[in-house]
Formats: sequence, structure tokens, C-alpha cells
Amino acid sequence: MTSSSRTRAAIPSFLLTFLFATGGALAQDAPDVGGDELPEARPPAPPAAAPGTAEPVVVPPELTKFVEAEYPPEAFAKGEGADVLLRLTISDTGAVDEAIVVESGGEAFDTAATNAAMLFEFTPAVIDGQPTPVQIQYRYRFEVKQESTRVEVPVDEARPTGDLGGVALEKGTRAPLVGVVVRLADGTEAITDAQGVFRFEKLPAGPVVVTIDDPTWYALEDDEEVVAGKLTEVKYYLERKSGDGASITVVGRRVQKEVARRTLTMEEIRKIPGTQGDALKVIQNLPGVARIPFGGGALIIRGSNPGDSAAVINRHFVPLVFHFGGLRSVFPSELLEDIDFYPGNFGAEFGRYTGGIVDARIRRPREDRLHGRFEADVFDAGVLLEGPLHEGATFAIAGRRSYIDAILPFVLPDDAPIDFTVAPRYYDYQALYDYKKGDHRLRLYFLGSDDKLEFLLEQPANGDPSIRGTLENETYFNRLYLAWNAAFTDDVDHEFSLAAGQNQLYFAAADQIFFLVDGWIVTLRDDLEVRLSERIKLRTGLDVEAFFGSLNIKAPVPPKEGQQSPPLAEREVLQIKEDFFFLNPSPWVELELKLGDLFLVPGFRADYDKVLDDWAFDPRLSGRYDLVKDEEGKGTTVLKAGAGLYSQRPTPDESDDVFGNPDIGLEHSLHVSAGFEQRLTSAIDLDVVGFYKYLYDSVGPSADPGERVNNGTLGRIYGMEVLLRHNLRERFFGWISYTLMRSERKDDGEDDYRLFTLDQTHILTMLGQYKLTSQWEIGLRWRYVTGNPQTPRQGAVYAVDSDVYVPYFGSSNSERVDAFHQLDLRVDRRWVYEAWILTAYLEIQNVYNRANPEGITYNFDSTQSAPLTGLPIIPSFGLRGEF
Amino acid sequence: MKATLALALAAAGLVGCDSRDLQSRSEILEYRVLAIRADIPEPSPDDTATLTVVEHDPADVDPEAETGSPFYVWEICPFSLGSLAQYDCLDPLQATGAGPDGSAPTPEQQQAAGRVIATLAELGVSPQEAAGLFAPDIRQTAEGTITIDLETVGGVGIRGLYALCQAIASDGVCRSFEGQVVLLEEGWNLYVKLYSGREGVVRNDTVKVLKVRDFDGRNRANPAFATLEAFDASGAAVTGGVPEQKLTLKLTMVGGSAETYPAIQYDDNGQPVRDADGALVTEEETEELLYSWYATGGNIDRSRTVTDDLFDQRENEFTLPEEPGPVRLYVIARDGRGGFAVRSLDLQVSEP
Repeated sequence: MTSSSRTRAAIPSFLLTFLFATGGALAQDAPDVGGDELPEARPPAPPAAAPGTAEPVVVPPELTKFVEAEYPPEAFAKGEGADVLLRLTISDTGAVDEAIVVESGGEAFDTAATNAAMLFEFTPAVIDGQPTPVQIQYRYRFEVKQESTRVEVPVDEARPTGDLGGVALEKGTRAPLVGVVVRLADGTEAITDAQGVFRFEKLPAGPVVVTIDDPTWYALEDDEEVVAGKLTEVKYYLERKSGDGASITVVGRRVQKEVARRTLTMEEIRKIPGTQGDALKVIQNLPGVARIPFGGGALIIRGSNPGDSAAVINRHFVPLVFHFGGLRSVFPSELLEDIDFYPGNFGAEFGRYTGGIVDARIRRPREDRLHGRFEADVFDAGVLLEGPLHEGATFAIAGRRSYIDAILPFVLPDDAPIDFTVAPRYYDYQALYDYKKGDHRLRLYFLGSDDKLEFLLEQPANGDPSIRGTLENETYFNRLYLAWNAAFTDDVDHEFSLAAGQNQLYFAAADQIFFLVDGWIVTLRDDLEVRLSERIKLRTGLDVEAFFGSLNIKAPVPPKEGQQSPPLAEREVLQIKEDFFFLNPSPWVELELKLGDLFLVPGFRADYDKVLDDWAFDPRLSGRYDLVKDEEGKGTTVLKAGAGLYSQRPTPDESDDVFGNPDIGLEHSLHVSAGFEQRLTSAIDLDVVGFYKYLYDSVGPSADPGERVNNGTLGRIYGMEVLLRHNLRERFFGWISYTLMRSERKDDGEDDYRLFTLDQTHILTMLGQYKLTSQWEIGLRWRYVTGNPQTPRQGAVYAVDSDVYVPYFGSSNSERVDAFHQLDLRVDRRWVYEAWILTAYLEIQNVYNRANPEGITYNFDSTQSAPLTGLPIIPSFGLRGEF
Repeated sequence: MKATLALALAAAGLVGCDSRDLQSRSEILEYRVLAIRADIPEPSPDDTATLTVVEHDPADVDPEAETGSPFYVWEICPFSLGSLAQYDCLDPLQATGAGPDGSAPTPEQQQAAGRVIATLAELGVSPQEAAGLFAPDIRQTAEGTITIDLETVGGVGIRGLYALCQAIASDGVCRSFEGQVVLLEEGWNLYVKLYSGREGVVRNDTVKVLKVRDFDGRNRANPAFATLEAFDASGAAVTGGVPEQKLTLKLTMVGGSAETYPAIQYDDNGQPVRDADGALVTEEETEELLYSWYATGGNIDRSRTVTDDLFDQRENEFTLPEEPGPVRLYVIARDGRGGFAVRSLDLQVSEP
């Protein structure tokens, strides 16, 4: 017995792994925790599933913040101890929502244990790839004289003794292994605490064999020498077995209320072939998203124009999603918690877009210890450092820079007719601060991006001699983001967030075209969530967007979708220089009604545009009905439907009096969708949605020669989306995504609908990733997509003064190129060292080197044509180191 | 932005398309219009301009080449819809349903046409008279030359057309169909379309923008070539060579081909800058010469070169054809203000 002080209560019974490995012997029926988001409990699941079975993959919560309970003074004075068995409900953010005493240790101990446990923090449990609320059992042991990790061995007074102690960590991540049993050859055991620490005291001096044999970890056996009168300190690194995880009690998932919200986890995102682990590129593999020629980064969602959909970070608009239009996301994927993708019928909290929404959410930096990551591939390299800062606070800093500009001189042919003054380069940076105290959370982020390119064309462009000389392009933005969350009561949550920063877009082509937009943007959201009753929740908020700045443009009027444009040399160039101020306040309100098996979300949003002086009032309704439920009361067959109006402002050039028409108003669309979700097995889900979208008051070319554009364009888009998804398992995940769609437009003055420029009838994506061993993983992606529509050329007229041929165009989008299909492959190899992990990957795009037609190219006078083919087979590789 | 990067990489030869089998613009295989030269290149509204086709006829090089009767149909538009509408002439009556193609107009077209016709009516011009006013002047000729009296174009002359444009505009500022302010001092674009070729063999569609400019009238000459020669690897001037031999082409221009001229200055909103007296502010600028290179065989290295502030590219590389026989080279020089010069060079490819 070495300790007589009031010691930190060890947690031998915080045995998540142990509990589940023993079949959940200590688990009990979970109580009804109430509330819509945590509607039901289910008995503890069996131990981790074996490969090939249909059990969900679970990643248990890990305790990241332990709080010592206040030892009841009277009991302490009397040297009394007790065990309190608690059932903790851990939210999908890792916070302890509830602590219920299952086995009492006495009132004073119960109170102390409950109070302490409510302040614990965990990493959220992940089930099927999604952070999920769970319940675990936790035994809080109060002892006065003995640390529970210290095991005394019967002492033979005649023999000298020594101590053996140490820490057990996960190999690679150095995460402490909690609740792991450490055994000696004579059967003596010690159990690691929250820091992975264990200790044997008064062991006979001499050799001992230490073993750790746990279902989650590869077994360890080690010979140690106990030295008389001394403490022998050891450190053990254990490697996690492939895909192993503990079973945990699932008590609820984040409420699914939209007709089609698809969530991707970072674990899935990292390994999808053809995306370089880029989170936002992965969206392009989901149903409803068209393929972009040459791997571009635009989002064509359910047949809408790229500008009709938005990517937001933490629900705030960012002007740029990808570096150079598609090479890489401007925000590092590893700092994202997950991404919600709404192809349509999104709730009232989102607006200003008539297409779809991609909502990327930044995660809280890790707080257990300092972590770092370095990543490099053929385009760029990035670093990330994150960890705890002070009590309740965490931080992360990250940055990335491309080195295309360093590589290009070596691969550029000597006779290339181009001279880079600034070769393509980009960088982005992020700094995050996240502070939690009680029911309050404060987040402060700073992030930005800069892309620049400048080159000299040493001879006039072949198709247009006016394009020559210096071309410059720089895109820059930064944001300071502030958010404050507060749970005023158990039923009232509030979030205020503000983002402010600068956007700058500059482009110049010699002295022919000049484009500079230099502006500031402030976006503000104030959201309130009130649980009115067990069945009704009110959500409401104010979403404000303000832009101000100046623009200086010298350019021809940009063509509208479906319009063809003569060469630059034959266009008249217009010029403006002016200040601008846009203000768009948007209040919204939404109810969540749980009526038995029916879940209804009526909502309403109003959008005002100050420049246009135009209001939009958009009612929305979506609903889900659990047609068939499993024994746990969860819907296995769910019917869902939604309808709503959506509005957005035209682009600034469209409402400009020089480049557009200042008399136009907001654009509108009607979204209608219906479908079902079917859980085929616990691993496989089927999601089918039919949709119809009607675009009206869209801005397009006017039939009146006296005005450039008006609100006279109509659109209709209809189709079906199918997603058959095998959720993340220990060895496999993947999905088959299929979209059948038709997207059409009818411009002002036209009698008939025509095809949308990126209308793709069939979009099929099949992808899968398989973990061969704990070191090797392989992923495949195969895509088949109908060829894009094309507007044929029927000869040309030669404009002799500018020396260009101006094509005669046929009917807009009246032809198609051949279908696209391509196979991509990715192989990952992982090396786990004691303190860090190294991963290398090889990615091969277009494995069978198909010459995919991306368009049609013509000869100088448009009398001959040939397919414009896409990228050939491209291997690339990358490295990632992390600790 | 991605287009910029794609353009940069395409220019650098890192990405591209499979267009190797397509005819390049510098490769002349049949009849082709190379230019329409105007004398005077930038006339005033009181001038008469002569337009001459610069063309290649295969029969000039190969007497056995298939050919037909030459034809030239000229169409002079008093008001043109410009490049966005393939240079069609404005015809307000067409929008009323009385146009030559008889197509049913949309309400918006009727509205637009109605505004023009109403304005003309206020000016005392009946719809029938307006039809004559806007009707294109169509001329068929046997030779590739026409003359245009700019004082009588559209019946009212360039000055009359400009005044009409100002009258039709609601704010009295004449604008092009893309919205740019039109100043007679800067130039009124008279669009001349030419349909030419050889009967039954080939037709070229060409458009010439004759910029009629009411300014000080100085320096309005066409550029002129002094020499165009070919040199072999030793630097000797040659008139031919063996198949696939590489030659260097060098041209020189007559002094003063790149003229200086007063360029009207515009502010950041595209409005012309005027001094305190209301006079247009100008700056002296020098013409940039753009050279377009063509050959009836072989391979021209660069289809266009320039002489401007950044480059002086009066040389080019040429690879003779694989087969023996005659080959003709053309170089067209443009000064960017309507001025043209043409020079040809005949070379002979001999058996090695």
C-alpha cells in the first residue's frame, strides 16, 4: 500500500472495450432518454462484427477529458470507498448528455460520480461512418488508499521487491489505451486508466513476462526485469487490429429530416479513387451530380447551372471552393467533420440558391494531445498542427502550397510558346480556435486562399489573334469566422455566427480584357432552436449577407447558358467602374413535428434583395414516414417527400445596367421530390428519389434586341436518383450511384425546350474500397456518363479585319458526344511506427486509357471536326505522415 | 479561372486535343479569301471606298486544278446586328411579319421593331421608306472589286445613318447592339458581307468591317511589304529546295507601314474623355502589325506573328512539301485599323 492520499479515482470499470468484448455483460436496458433526436434505445450490440457479416462497424467513444469526482468528505475521513455504475449518454459531439446511476454506491458517491461524469468529454462514437449518440456503462470507483491501476502483489518479505509501471498507447496515434488488462505470468493484473497508465507494486525482483491480450489490439508479450527498490518504467505500443471496434449501444442518430441529405464521413472521403482524398470532389460521385469535363470542380446539381448551387463552410458562403477551378479544395479535408449534400428540397435555413447545397462542417480540433500531419502529392504539400491550448480550448493551424510552379520549368518543352512570369501557384491557410465551457462554445476561425497565374503568350492564339501578350489571373479571399453556441436550457439552443472577409478576383488578358472585383463580404446567422414539447421543435433564424466593394471591368458581355459566342476579337468590349453594395437579409422558420411514425418539417423563408428591391417568400414542406420498423423501432422502410419554393438573385453582371438589365428580379424554382429508403441489411441501404424541378423567372437572353437579358427563361428538370450504399465496414465500403435525368431550358421567345448544356441522361458511379490487410487498401471507381450536348457548327464567316472565323452555329445543344466511361484505381500502403503513421498512395486515373470525348474541336473554318478528348491515363502518388 | 489555366497549359503543350488530322488555317488546299483590302482603309463619311478581294485560286498555281466560274455577291448593311447575329442586316419589317422570310415575329421582336418604326415615323419616315433605308445594298460582280460611295449608303449616307441612330436612341446616344457608345469620330462600322467562290466548287463567306471615321484623316494608308524571301540553313536566299527542306522566311515592310494615329481616350466606364471645351481627348498610338502566313503545301511553323510593343516577329520557319512541285506562300499584314498588305512567294520543290 503506497498511497494514503485522496487519489484520482481510477476507472477500472470504464471498460468500453472490456465490456463489449465480454458480450456486454454489464450492459443493461437503456432507459428512455426522451426527445426526438434520441428517441429510442436498443440493447447492447454484440462484439465487433467479423468480416463479411452484416453488423455495423462501430468506433467507440474515447474519453478525452476525465474529471475527478469530489470525494465525499465524510466517506473519505472514514476511509470508505464505493463503486457507482453509471449509464452515460454520449452525444454525437462527444459531450455527456446524461448520466444515470445504474448501481448506487450511496447517495453521496452517486452525486459526486454523476457530477464528475457530466463533465467528461469523449470522441464521438462513429457507427456506419456517422457520429452517433450512444450509451455506455461507466463504473466510477472511489478508493482512498489504493489506486486502482496499482496492483499489489503478495509480498514475500524475504525477497527484495520493485515496481513495474508504464503506459499503453496505440501504435501510430499514441492514443492512450483505456481499460486494457495488463497481465503478468502469475496472473496478476493491472488495468490501464484514462491515460493508459498501469502499475504493479512490490513485485519480486527479477524477470517477469508482461502480456496484453485484448480483442481490439494485436497481442503483446514482453520480458521485463524488475529491479529491487526501483520502478521499472515501460511504454507499450499496441497496434489496432484491422477494423476492430467495440460494440456500443446506439441510442439515436442525427435527425434525418430532408428528402435527400447525404452525409459523407472523412474516413470514406479519404479513400475514394480519383478524388485525391479531396472531400468536395467526392460530392461529384453522388446521385444528382453531373460529371464536369476534364475533372473540373463546378457543381452541376440536378441539372442546375453551376451558379445555382453553393458550397458553404459552417453554413457561411465562401466564394471559391477549388483552387484553379478544380485542382484541389481550398479547405483541407482533414479539418472537416463531415459534409452534408442536399441535391434539392433543402430546409428553410438554406436559401439564395435554386439548385443544391453542399454544407461542409469544420470539426473541433483534437484535444487529447498535440497532433500533426504532413501531406504531399504531385500538386502540393500541406501541414496541420492541432491540439489542446488551455482548459476547454483547442487549436489548429494548417497551410498548403502548390509547387506546380517549381515543377513546370522541368516539364515544359523548350520551344513552348509560353513564358510563365508567375507559374500556376496556390496556397491556403487556416487557423482555428475552439473553446468550450459548460453549455457554451466559442469558435474563432481565420482562413483564406490565394491562386495566381501569369504568363506571356509569345505568339497570337491560333483561333483568336487578339489573345496574345500577358495573361494574369489572381483569386484571393480570406475570412474571419466567429461563432457562439449556447444551450440556455435543456430545450433552448442558440447559435450566433459571423463571417467577414475580403474577396478579390482579378483577370487581365493583355489590354483586351480586364476584370477586377474587390469586395468585402459579411455574412451573419443567428439561429435559435426551441423544443416546445416532446413532439414539436421550433427552429428559426436570420441569415444576412452583405457585399460591398468596387468593380472595374472591361470585357464583352458573357454568353448565357446555351448561347454561343463569337471569338473575342469580334466582340464589342464594354467597360464599367463602380462601387457596389448588396444586402440580402433572410429570416426563416421551421417546425419539426413528430406525429407518431410521421415526421413533418414545414418551413418558410423570406429573401430580400436590396439592389433589385425584390422579395421572395418561399414555403417548404418535407416529410418522412416510417412504413416498416425493426424491433428497435427504427425505420427500415421509410417513405419521404418534399416540395418547396426556392429563390436566388441573378449574377451581378445580369442586373448591371451596362452588362445586363437592371429591371430584372429574383429567379425562382419549384422543387418536388418523393422516394423511399430501404435498409436491406444492417450494412446496405437503398435510397431512391424521384424529383421534378421547375425553373421560372430565370435570367436568360431576351428576345428583345433592346435588352440583353430578362426573366423569361424557363427550365424543367426531372429524373430519378438511386443510391445503393454499403456502409463503412472493417474491410469494405462502397456505393452504386445512378441518376436518370433530363434537364431542359426554354429561353425567352423560344417555342420549344432545348437540352441544358450539361444534361446527362445516365450518370452511373460504382466505387468501392477494400482493406486487404491492416497495411494495404485498394479502391476502384468506375463511371459511365452520357456524353454532353453540343451545339454543332455549320461553317463560318471569315472576319477579315480581325483574322478570325466566326462560326455559324446550329440549334443549341442539339447533338451529343459519345458517352464517357473511366476506371480509376487507388492503392494505399500504411506503415505504423510507434509514434507516427506513414501512408503512401498511388492513384491511377483512367486505368484503361480511354480517349473520352469531352467536346468537339473544329478546324479553323469549322468545316472539319474531331472529338476533343479528355485526360489520358495519369498516375499520381502522395505521402501522408501523421502523429 | 480554370479556363485560364487550361489555356496556359494548352499553350504550353501539356494538355490538348486530338486535332492533328484537322486542316490548319495556314494550309491552303482550295479557293480561299485571304483578305478584303480597302482603299482608303479607314475612310471618312465623305469618301468613296474601293474594296478588293485578296484571294487564292488553286488554278493560279496548278492549271489543272478543278475550278469554276468566279462569283462575288456583296451585301452592304447600313445597320448590322454584328457578330452575335452572324452579321445579319437589321430589318425592322421582318419583326412585323412583313420581312422577306415571312417568319412569325415574337411579341418582343414586334415590340423592338415597333420602337424603331415609331421613331422613324416621328422623323417622317414611313415603314415602307424604312424598309428601303435598312435594306442591304446587294451587288453581284464578276470581279472581286466594288466601290462604295459613303455619302449615299442607305440613301442617307453615313452621316445620315449616324443621325438616325442618335434619333432612335432614347437618350440620344448612338450605341451598337452590344451597348457600346458609337462615335463618328471613332468610326461607324459599315458591314460588308461577301459570298464568293467558284460556281459549283466552293463558297467562302467573308465579312469586312469598313470603319468610316470622321476625324483628322491623317495616316490612312495601307501597309506595304518591301520584301518576302526564303533562306536556307546556310543563310543563302533560295527560290526552292528539296522535299521537306527547312527554310527561314523573312519579310520586311516599307517604312511607315505602322502608322501613328490619334486614339480617342475612354474613362473607366467606357465613356469618351473630353476636355474643357468638349473636344475629344486623344493620345498618339502606333499601329501593331499582325502577319498571317499561308502555304499551299508544306508546313508553316507559326500561322501568325506580330510586330508590337513586345515582339518583332518578321521571321518564320517553313518546311517544304514532301512532293516535288510548285508551292506558293502568302503573307497578309494587318495594321488593326483596316489596312492590309499582301505578298506572295512562289517556291519550287525539286527532286532531291
